[in-house]
Amino acid sequence: MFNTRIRVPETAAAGEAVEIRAMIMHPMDNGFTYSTQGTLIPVNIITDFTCRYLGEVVVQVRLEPGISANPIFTFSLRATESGPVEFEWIDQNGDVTTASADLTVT
Amino acid sequence: MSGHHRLAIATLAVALGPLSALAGPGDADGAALAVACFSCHGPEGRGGGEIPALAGRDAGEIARQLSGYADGSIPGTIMPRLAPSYTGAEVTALADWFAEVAP
Amino acid sequence: MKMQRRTFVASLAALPLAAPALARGAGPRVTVVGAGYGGASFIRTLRRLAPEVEITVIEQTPRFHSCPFSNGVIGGLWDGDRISFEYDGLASTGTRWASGAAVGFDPATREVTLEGGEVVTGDYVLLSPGISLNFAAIDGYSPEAAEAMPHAWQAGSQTGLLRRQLVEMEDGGTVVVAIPRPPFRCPPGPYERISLIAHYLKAAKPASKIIVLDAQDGFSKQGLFEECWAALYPGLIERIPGAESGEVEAVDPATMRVSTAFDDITADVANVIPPQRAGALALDAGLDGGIGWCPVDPVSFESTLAPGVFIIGDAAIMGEMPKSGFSAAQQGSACAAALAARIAGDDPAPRKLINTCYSLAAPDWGFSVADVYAQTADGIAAIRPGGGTTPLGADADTHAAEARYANSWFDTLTSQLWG
Repeated sequence: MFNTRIRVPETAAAGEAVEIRAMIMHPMDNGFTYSTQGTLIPVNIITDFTCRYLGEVVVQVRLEPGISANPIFTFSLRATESGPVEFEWIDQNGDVTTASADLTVT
Repeated sequence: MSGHHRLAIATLAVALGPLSALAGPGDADGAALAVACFSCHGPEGRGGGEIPALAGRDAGEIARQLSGYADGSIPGTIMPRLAPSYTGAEVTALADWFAEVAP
Repeated sequence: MKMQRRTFVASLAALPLAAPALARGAGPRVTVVGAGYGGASFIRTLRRLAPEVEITVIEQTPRFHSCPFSNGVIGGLWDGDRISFEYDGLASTGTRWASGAAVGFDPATREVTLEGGEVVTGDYVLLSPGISLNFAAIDGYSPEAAEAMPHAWQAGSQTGLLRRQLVEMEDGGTVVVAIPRPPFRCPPGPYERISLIAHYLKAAKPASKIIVLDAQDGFSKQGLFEECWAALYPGLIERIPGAESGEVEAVDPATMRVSTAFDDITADVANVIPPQRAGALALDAGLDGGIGWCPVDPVSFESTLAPGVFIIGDAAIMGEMPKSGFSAAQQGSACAAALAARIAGDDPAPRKLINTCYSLAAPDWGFSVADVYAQTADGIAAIRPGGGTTPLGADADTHAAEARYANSWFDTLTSQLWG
């Protein structure tokens, strides 16, 4: 598990497009940089990001080396009914980090 | 510019033995070292508010206090962190220099 | 008593020196740009070591405003007079005081052009130009925007502006402090400022909060600051570090919004400290070699790019020495000694330099980092073991003593430089 920050509005009007932000604190080592000791730092990245709303996948991203450290995804989501917005990150070893927030539609 | 000049001075210094004005590496120049202390201890070490004066104090006393800060036997705030960075010869040179200043 | 003695010495010094200063060609001509901690210290020391030198001083401000202790003005510990000094004392040491700001510098000819068009030439030039603020690094930030969202990272009117905004803010307001990536002037300075703003808010506006948007992950004296914040200002300070997207990318002075890649925060008072580089005069002359800060010889502080040009203080790359007023003053003395040696035909001797940076986290809660640095041909490095910060968990007496020493240090050094 890595630390994450997510931003989901608490409430939204039905049909409103709301801005969602999701960030994971991860070094995203691309395999081309050296440590201060001069040894090559191996590739170590998040490979998959998924956002689900009401259980349905709304955003899915495959990440490659070259994406910056602590990647942030910002996207719009159309609010339809109240329910959870769930986030999932998977790293190259298959380890899963999750976060979620409830969106109330008024 | 001064290659010859420097060589001449070096020769002179060897002939005359150590001179404080020509202090080389290995010698401790009390005057040059002391300048760094004025920011807190006042001009020429004559004191600065809560921070004590050094000018005109007994050289042995100053040296003992600096050595005490350095080996941890004398407590303090700033000086126990600064004192360990000076060699014995530098402590002596600093103490001698401040002792000579009129308070 | 002390002031009288110094005044007496100063006037005594002015008499014999005034004459050779007027007779051109009596000694080498040295131009000093910037009469802050570095420049003032250089002038005082060079006057003492090489009285025959003709010194011309170029300073853009009519009065000196000290960045050290300016956070006390912002936090309401003392008023602006405490950090404001006349240049008269310094000017009366037998220096020629050029009028107006320097607008151009040619490293090849060592000619400094003033805003009035006057050109000052010298055999040697000392640049102590401080920092320039890189407004363009933050979208929407500018000198005009800083009138609504002060940086207060060059003391003076900006210091007073930030103080007034805090005084005028309603209780329950949000104060945002934005901290850039290093290197910047005074590494612990933003955190001292946060502490003293918190000290003010706790007493005067306790429902308010401070949000720190920090491009850095760790910071100078972090443990000591956080220890104090937990003890004195619990719940008042929320900090978002660089790894959590703390770096400010954009501001909007019209709506008082401060934005990172992740957060948009609407501030009642926004103190936006932008990224920094060497002073504009040095940058424009290319003395930073394109890297933002000026490389210098670690013993003489002569620019590695321009012979006869010496650069000290925040603008220069000084190895492990931090960008502090204390360091600049030490470098000013050492540089003057190196130049005096050069004029006498000698090589400059490496010295041991000291930096002691005090921070006040409350009026009676001080702590410090104190190190001795060795000048070597390879650079300036802190001497180890030795040096370091006030230990964590120090008792109240220690913090109170360090606060008193901080005050003494400030008054002692500033009276030596500008008194």
